[in-house]
Amino acid sequence: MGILSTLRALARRPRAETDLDDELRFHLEMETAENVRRGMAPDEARRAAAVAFGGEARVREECRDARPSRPLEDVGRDLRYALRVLRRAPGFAAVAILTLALGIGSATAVFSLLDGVLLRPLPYPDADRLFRLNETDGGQGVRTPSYPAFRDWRAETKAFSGMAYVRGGEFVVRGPEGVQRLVGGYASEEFFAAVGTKPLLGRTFGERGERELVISHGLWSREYGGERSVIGRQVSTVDGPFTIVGVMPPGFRLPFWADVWAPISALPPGERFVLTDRALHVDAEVIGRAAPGVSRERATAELAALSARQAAAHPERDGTRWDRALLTPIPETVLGNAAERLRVLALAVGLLLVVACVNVAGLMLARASTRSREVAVRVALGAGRGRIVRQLLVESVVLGLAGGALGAAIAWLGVRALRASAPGVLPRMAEVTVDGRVLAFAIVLSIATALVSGLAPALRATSPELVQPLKGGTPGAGAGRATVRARTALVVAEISLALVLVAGAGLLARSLWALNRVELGFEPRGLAAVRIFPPSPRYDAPEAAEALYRRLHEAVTAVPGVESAAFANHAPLVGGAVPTRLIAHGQTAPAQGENVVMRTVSQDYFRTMGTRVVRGRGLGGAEMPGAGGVVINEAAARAFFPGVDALGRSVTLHRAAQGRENAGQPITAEVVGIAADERFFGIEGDPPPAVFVPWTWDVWTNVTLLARTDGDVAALVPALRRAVLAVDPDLPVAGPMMQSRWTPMESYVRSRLEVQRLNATLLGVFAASAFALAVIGVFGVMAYVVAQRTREMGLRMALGARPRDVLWMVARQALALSAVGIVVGLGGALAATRLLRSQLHGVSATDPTTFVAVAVAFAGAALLAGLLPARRASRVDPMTALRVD
Amino acid sequence: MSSPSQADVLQGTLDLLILKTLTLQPMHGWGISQRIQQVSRDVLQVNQGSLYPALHRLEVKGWIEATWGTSENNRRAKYYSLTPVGRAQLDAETESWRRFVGAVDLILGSA
Repeated sequence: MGILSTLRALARRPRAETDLDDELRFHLEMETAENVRRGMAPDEARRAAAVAFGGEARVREECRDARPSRPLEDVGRDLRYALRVLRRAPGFAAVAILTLALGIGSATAVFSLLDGVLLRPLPYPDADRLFRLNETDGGQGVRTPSYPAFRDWRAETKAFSGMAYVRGGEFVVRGPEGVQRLVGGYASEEFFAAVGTKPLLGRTFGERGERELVISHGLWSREYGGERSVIGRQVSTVDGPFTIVGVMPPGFRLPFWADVWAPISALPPGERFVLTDRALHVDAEVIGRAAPGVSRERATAELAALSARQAAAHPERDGTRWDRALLTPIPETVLGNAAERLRVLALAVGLLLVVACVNVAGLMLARASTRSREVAVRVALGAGRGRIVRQLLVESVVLGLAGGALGAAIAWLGVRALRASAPGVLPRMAEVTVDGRVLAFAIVLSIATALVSGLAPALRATSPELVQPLKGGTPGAGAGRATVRARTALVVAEISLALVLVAGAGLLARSLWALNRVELGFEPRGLAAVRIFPPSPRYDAPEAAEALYRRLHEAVTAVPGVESAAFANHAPLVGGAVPTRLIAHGQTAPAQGENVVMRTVSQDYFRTMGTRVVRGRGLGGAEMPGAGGVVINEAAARAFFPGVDALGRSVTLHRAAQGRENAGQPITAEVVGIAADERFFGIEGDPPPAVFVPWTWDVWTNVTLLARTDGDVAALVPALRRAVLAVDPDLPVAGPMMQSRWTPMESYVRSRLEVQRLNATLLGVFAASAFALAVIGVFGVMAYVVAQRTREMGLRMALGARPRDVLWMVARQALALSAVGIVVGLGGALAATRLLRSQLHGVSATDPTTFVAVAVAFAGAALLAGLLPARRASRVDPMTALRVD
Repeated sequence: MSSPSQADVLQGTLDLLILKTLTLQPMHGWGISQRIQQVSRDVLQVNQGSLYPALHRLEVKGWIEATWGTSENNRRAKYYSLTPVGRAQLDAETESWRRFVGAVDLILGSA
């Protein structure tokens, strides 16, 4: 039947009903008149006509069946009936809707994360052919090619249809709140063409080397209020004026740190060495688009061949051969391990959703047994089983949609809260929204959930076994037992699923606890840090930078409340690191490579950081000018001097300050101290080997200032900022990045654990919900069992059983039931927690303590949930119990 | 109530009888029921009511069409008439009914 005729019939339905009335009445009147004509009395004639006609109600029903709009009409009728029925059972409806809302809301929130982070395409056309290109030494060493090396690659490549170089650059913008540092890039002319993304507003820049800026969507909405008039606006920076010519679409961050792009020809004079220096390998990224049909392997092989030629033509001063290439797909550089983390969340929320479904199915089963009389009446009145099943399913769908609506609201609030409180916890977080797509998902999920949880109870409610009561009066004991069996199976399933979740959450919580107790190697409390990038060309000369750092150190030390101040090229967790090749005289090179983290530090570094010098001494004033000693960390001592004492031994390292004339030149010095390992890159993972040298030996082009106080360091931040600006008001100590402003070190530590904290919290919430639902499930089924057996209990007590015996009888049943669920759940958890392995720290994925604790918690909760109804039953007066019914 | 098998036979037959009856002229439901009873000389005892679902089904199928008119005693009545599709269908069904009856006759005759 066509949809049109169905709709037409639906529109004509009221008319069709009166027509049917008229037609049937006409027939009966004609027949009655005919009977009268044959000589019957009027009353008798009417009766005879009705008899000849047969059951009128049934005829009407069959006539309606003939109408094409019949199914739709029925759904409307079922819907009205369902609303009426649910209004009469508000308690049941509320519990079911809340349970479904919990499941659907959590699933919808996680789906919006999945959708925003993983499913939505990145704003780069054919993103799978875009790669980040690096040189490698075949081992751990990975570096960005220098600009000249990139030019060679680009000139000779056939595997790439486009290739671009972006030099990290800062744009120190003068604004009302003083100068602000924006991080961006100086991009080679092919950049936007190779990436292929069209700007949202205006245009990108191309070949012409003008002082033009393209800005990110985030910067545009944050700083320029999202106004279109931004195009053509002049921006005044420390390095001269720029004109904004374009705004990129949301999510365009390539490289991931960039907010602003300028043509590489606009590099400030002090940085133009980038264009010619073959030794420069940091603060840049090379992006390539593989030509159509070229595989990643072929492209890698081609670049490796080009690198090998370069390595031969321009040998490194430290002798390393960077003759291989590494291609990292751009989506991978954006998403990192987000896919894996989201998979765990999706699995967790899926489990919670199933638990919610099972719980609602249990509720409906319970209701089915109380509604058996209603169903029996309807069957007796001629309703087919299919008809009643449909009616019950419509009821479930009404519950599901109500739960879905509430769930969508929960998801919306949850996602908003998440974005506000932890914007950096996943890549592309700014793109995560609860929009039409996510709502469509929620609606489909609601209906699916409703059908899944409602089908079995609906079939059960209409089974002939349950439809008996009309004949007898008392529900059959057999039917009751079957219901208990079905509900017990559901509760067992609930316990095992919830246990998997709780075990996972328990492991993540223990891992978080372990991470919070990790030895950082320094004392974050009372410490604040800021990274300062002195503007070029004022501080380009090493002497100028040196003078600036001394003045900054003095100014910070003089701030009231500062106990000690220091500076270094880089500090733990704050960001930045440059390797140097370390040679330990008389030792063989370690298997994992000779690169160590190069640290240039001021005299009070160890004291200010609270980093312990384990053996020997720190770097005193004597070493600062001229030759002297260096300090290595324990990791370096283990790697380079296994089994021997490193103190007093000689090492050679290489100057590594980027862009300096003397970069790569060796320094040979004696090891005068060994410092405790600092967690440099993060809290997980092993601290890298490092060498500390007096800062004057290799004056860095930028600096990390450190200040320690014994008071509240956050309160000191404004004074610290003023101190820096007093030295030079053009120094950037503001901006969107933590490093660009004075930030308490504890914030860095917290931000490093943000991901783990969020994972543990989300999984904890899901697990707690599932646990609660499972306990409610146990309670429900035990209450039902107790109600069914009240008479039996009364009889037992009348025959001399003590309340304690009755309690134990029920408790035993609750325990048996939960034991099955716990055993199954432990098996599932052992399999499932393996997925968490990479996210766990300091605890194994099968940690026995966690598993035992979880099992005990479930058994205890099940026991309690069983004893509650049992206590009530054991207090019942035997006579009352016997009189039930 | 008739057993299912009998009802099935009856339903198909009823459709055939309705179509045949309507070849004469447009008729209302009661008229059709009177006509079938008369012609079959009261052998076919059908509940008069079961005529109506059959009429409505045939109408939806497009084999017959209905118009509201005025009855012989000036009442509003629904008249059914055969459509061209219905006429073709009647021919086909009559043919297959004849074959069916013939086959049964053959078996009964040869037994």
